[in-house]
Amino acid sequence: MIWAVRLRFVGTLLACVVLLLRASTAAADDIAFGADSLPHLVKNAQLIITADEPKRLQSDPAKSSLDDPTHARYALYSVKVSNVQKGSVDIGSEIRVAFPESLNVRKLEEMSNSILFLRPFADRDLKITNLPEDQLTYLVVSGRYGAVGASQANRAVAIRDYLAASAAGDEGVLRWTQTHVSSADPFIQRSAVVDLYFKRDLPKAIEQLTGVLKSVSVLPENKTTAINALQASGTVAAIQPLRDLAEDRLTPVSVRQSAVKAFSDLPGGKSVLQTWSSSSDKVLAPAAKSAIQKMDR
Amino acid sequence: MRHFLLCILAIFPTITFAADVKITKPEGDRLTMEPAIAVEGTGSPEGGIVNININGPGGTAVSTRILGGRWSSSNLSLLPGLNIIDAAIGDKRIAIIVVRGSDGIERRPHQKVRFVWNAGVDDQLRKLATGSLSAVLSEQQLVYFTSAVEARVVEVFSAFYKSLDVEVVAVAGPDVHTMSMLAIDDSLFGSSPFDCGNLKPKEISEIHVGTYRRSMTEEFDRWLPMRKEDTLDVRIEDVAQALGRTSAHEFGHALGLVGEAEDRRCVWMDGCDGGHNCEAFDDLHAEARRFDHGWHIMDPGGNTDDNARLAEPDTKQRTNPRVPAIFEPFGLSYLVTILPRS
Repeated sequence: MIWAVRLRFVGTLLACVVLLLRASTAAADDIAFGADSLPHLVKNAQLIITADEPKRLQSDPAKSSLDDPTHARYALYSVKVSNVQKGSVDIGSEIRVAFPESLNVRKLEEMSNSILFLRPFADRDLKITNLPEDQLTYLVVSGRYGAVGASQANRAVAIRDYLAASAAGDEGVLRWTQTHVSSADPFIQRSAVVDLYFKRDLPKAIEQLTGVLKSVSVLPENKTTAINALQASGTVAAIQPLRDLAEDRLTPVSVRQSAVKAFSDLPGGKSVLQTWSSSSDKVLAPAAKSAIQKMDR
Repeated sequence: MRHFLLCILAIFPTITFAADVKITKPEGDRLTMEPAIAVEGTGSPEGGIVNININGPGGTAVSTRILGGRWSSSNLSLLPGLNIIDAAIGDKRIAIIVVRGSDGIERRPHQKVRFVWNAGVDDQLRKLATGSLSAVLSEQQLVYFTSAVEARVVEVFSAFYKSLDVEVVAVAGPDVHTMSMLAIDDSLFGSSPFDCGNLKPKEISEIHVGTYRRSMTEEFDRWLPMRKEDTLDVRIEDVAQALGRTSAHEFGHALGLVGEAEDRRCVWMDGCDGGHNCEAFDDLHAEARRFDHGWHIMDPGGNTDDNARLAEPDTKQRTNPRVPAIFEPFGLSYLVTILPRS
C-alpha cells in the first residue's frame, strides 16, 4: 500500500516535471500593440474569472503532429472557477482554457489564483486548432498576458474598478487612468498608459499624458508609450513637456531619443530639431539629425 | 605685447593638442563568434596615446599611439556575451558594445521557406477587404484582392531576407520551413518556435490572418493612415505589408532571434518581452538602439506601432514609397553569421 502511494507520488512528480518542461518550451509570438494590457483584455474577454487548481490536459493527438501546418497549436488546461468578474459561469465549476502554444504560461503555478480573461472559441476556429472539439473551450485572450496574477497588492481591486470604469465610457476610464497611471504595479501602470494612448484625441487624456512625462513613478517604457501618443496627437500642449524631457540629461537615453523623434510631428517641430542638431549634446544632436533626415525623405 | 604672447601661449596647447577619438572598427552592437578582436580608430593629436579598455576595471586594458591620424590594437580578448569597448584620449572618450556569441552558433545550410495558405484564409482576406473599404467590391475584385495579397506577401517577406541565404520554394521538404497562414482569430498575429542557431531547418510558423481581419475591420481606427476611401490596390499593399512583416518576424524567431534570460540557449542576445528586442537593454546601454517601436523587425508586438506594420511612417498621410521595418544591426549580424548569402 505504502509502495503504491510512493509510486503514485513519483509518477505524479515525473508528470509535473514533463508538463513544466513542456510549458517552458521556447516559442515566440507577435501580438497587437497594447494586447498585454487591460483595455485590450477587457474589451476582448466575454468571461473574466479568478482561476485555481490548474491541470494540464492533452490536446487532440490527431491534430497535433509537428508536421501539420493546417492546425494552430494550443496548450489546454482545466481550471476551477473561484470568482467571476464578468460573464456568467458557476463558481466552483471546472472549465477548459487554452493558451496559444507560443504564449503558454511558463509554469503551471502561474494560473493558481490568477485572473483569466477568456472568450469561447468560435466553432469554425476550434476546427483549425489542435484542441478537442467535444467540449466548450475558452481562449485565454492574449495568451499568458491574459493570465494575470491576482495576489499582487490592490491589483484585483484595480481590475474590478476598471471594469466599472469602462462601463461608464471615456469619462470613467479617464478617472481610472488618473488614479492608476502612477501605480506601483507595472501591469496596472501600463494599462493606464495604453488607455491614454488610445484616447489621445481627448483633451483630458493629453493632460494626463503630459503629466506622465514629468512623473518619477512612471517606468521609462511607459513614458515612451506616452511620448508616442503625444507625437501622434500633434498637439501644441505637448511641446514644452517633451522639450523638457528631451533636454533632461538624467532621463534615460532611449526616452530622450523618443522625445526628440516626437518633434517630427509637432507644430514648429522642425525648427526645434534643427536647433538640437547643431548642439553639442551627444543625445540630442544625433537623434535630431536622424529625425530631420526622415522628415526630408 | 607680453600679454598678447601670454594669451597665445595659454591657448596654443588647446589649438595644437585638441583631442579627439573615434572607433571605426568593429562597428558597434554587432555579434562576433571570435574570442578576440582588433580595434581600430581615428584620433588626434598626432602621436597621442589612446587608452583602450574592454569591460571596465579588471578587464583588458592596452594603450596605443596615434600615427597618421589612426590607431589600432589587435588580439584583444572578449568575454562571452556583452563586451563594452572604451577608447579614450585626454578627456575624450567613446564606447561601443560588441557581443561575443556562444552556443556553437555557426553557418547553417541554405534555408528554404514555403507559404501554405490554408482553408478559410481567402475568406478572411475577403472579409478584410469588404470590412475596411467603403467601396462595394465585386466578386472579381475580391478574387483579385486575395490572389494579389498572397503574391505580394511573399515579395514583402523575401525583401526582408534578400541579403541572406534564404529561398522561398513551393513544396515541402526536410529542409523547408513552413509559414502556415491560418484563418484563426485568437488575438495573436503570429507564432513560431524559437530555435537558437537555426538547428532545425524544418519547422512551422503560424500567421493568424483572422486576427488581422478582426483588428483591421473592428478596430479600423487604430490602423492610420488607412482610410475607408482607400483604393483596392492600396489595401492590398497594407495587408501584404502587415502579413509579410509578421511572417518575417516569426521566421526571425525560428532562425534564432532573440534569446533572453529564460531561454536555455542564446541568452547572450539579451532579449526580453517574450524573446524580442529589449527597450530596457537600450536604457542600460546608451551605445545600443535595438528597440524602435516596431520599426525594427524583432521588436515586441505589444509595443509595435500599428502603422509600422503597414510600413507607413506617418499616420496622417501616405508615404510613397513605403518604409518597411528593418533588422537592427545586432540582429542582422546574427543572421549574416548563420545564413550569409555567398
